[in-house]
Amino acid sequence: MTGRWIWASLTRRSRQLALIAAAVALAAGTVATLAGFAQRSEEGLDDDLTAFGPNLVIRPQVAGPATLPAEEAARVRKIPGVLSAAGWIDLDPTVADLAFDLPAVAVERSVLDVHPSWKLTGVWPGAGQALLGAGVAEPGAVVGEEALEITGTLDTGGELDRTLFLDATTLPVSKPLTASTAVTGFHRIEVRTERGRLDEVAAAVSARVAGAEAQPLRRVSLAEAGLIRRLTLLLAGVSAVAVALALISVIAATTALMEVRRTELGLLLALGYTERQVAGLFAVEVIAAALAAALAGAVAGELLARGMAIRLLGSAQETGTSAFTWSGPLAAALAALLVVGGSLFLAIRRGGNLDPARLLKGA
Amino acid sequence: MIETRDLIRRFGSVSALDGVTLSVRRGEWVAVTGPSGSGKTTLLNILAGLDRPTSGRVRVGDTEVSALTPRQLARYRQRSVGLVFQHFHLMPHLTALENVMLAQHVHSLVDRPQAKAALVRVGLGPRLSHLPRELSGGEQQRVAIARAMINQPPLLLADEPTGNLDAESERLVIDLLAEHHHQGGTVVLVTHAAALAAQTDREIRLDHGRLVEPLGPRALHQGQEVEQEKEDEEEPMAVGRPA
Repeated sequence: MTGRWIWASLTRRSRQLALIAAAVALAAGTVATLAGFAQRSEEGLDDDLTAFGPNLVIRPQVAGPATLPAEEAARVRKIPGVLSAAGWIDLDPTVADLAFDLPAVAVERSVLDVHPSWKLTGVWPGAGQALLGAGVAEPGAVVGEEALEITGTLDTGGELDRTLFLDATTLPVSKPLTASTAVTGFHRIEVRTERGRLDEVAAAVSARVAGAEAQPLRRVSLAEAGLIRRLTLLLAGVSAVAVALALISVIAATTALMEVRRTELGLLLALGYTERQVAGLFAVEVIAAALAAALAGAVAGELLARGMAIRLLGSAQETGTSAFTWSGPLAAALAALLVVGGSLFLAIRRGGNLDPARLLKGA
Repeated sequence: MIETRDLIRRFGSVSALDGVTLSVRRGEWVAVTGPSGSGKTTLLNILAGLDRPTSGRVRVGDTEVSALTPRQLARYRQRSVGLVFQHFHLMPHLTALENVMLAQHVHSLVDRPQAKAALVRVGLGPRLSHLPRELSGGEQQRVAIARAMINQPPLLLADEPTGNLDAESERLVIDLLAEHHHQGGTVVLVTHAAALAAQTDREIRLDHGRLVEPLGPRALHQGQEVEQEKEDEEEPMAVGRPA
């Protein structure tokens, strides 16, 4: 009979419950939208930064002879959470007998995976070959007294566009550029990690690579964190306002509903229900309406958040934006719980000490 | 069946009931009459367990109603009382049948065939699935009477049950109450209608919260009633619908 009561109330008296449902749906939808969008923004920024390039640099703790850290790089690549890693050696930037006054680096080919935004035109160089930065590239250029064949150009989109790139793995067997091309004694491994695993990888490096220090790119990370914090604060503020407005609306609607139905409440008491049973029935009825509204709000909010993320952050495929997040529905559920629970508590408290004789009087 | 002693009910400084002592025998049909504000409805509410006296005692059957806790009062209303109101008080979103079944549900278990039969008995067989707004006033009141009687309460209390009805509907409602009375039910009826009061066994007249000597030849002396009540107490209490 309770189920029949609730169903009849929802279907035959929908107008009275519509305001409550609308307020709950609005609160749940707003909060779900904002929470879902916040999570996707964080993911999107993380993805943007990851796509931009390395987020971890591993350096030797003590200076020593410059050698390609190929073995170390290979070990780093096996660390869970590492997407790619590439060893670097900075060569003496003042190579006097080169035709171009260029800084030069010797890198592993995997540097292209570490820097996905870099664009290689031509082929990766072998022994006696090199790539020119896109900023200084000239077709058919010959570099050095004893010519290094230029096999292509590398567009890094930055200051490295004025750099000469040699393949690090062939460097030891290649003919030295000149006596003055001695390496500077400075090498490093650049690493790109999976989203959100930066600290985990950094901690693993010290265990896997002896004598190395992993340095997350804190400058970027802090900027990212600050941006996300501000964004999250903004969204949380908007959510709080939405929930507060919904709470006020639902309290008003619930109180009005109790007032409109005071005769029904009185009759239920007259038939033999206790005050607690009447309050329970009323609460179940409101919750049933609110549940459906919260569900609809959560679904709508989640879809809206996804749409906003794609529209504002780029396509889901490009940004890795999640198709579904738990934060939206979870936030919607919490908002609905807060709104309905709070308003019912207040309404029932106000309606406490129900007096059936007074409720039935003068209807 | 019913016994009140020095019943007082005050609302602030106003005395709605002022020392009412009366008794009603089991199976009796009593009309409570009096001008507006005389305390009729207040008395009925106290007998129904909807209100509490400021002081005094109310006994219905073996139950000391004035001493019950709120939970016990709710149970008393479930088991012992059927209520009919002037304004019907049907649940607007439930059909006629569901309104009757609601009373069954509150009492114990829903019995749809029994609820249907109750509505057929009051002449509403073709109106089972109609909502209250689709029924006339007389039909709504008949639903209310079916609801009040569905659990076979030992005491039926009716507050101006014909106050909003036309003559034809009034006659049908009176017939239903009379039928309940003839089947052994105790009926207390609050009414302004002299014609209706005339059909009852006895009239209890209130004025300014006090009992006044009823008019007419049907008046019985209170002492005789109390004695009769003592005799009645020897008999087993009428029981309602099994829970």
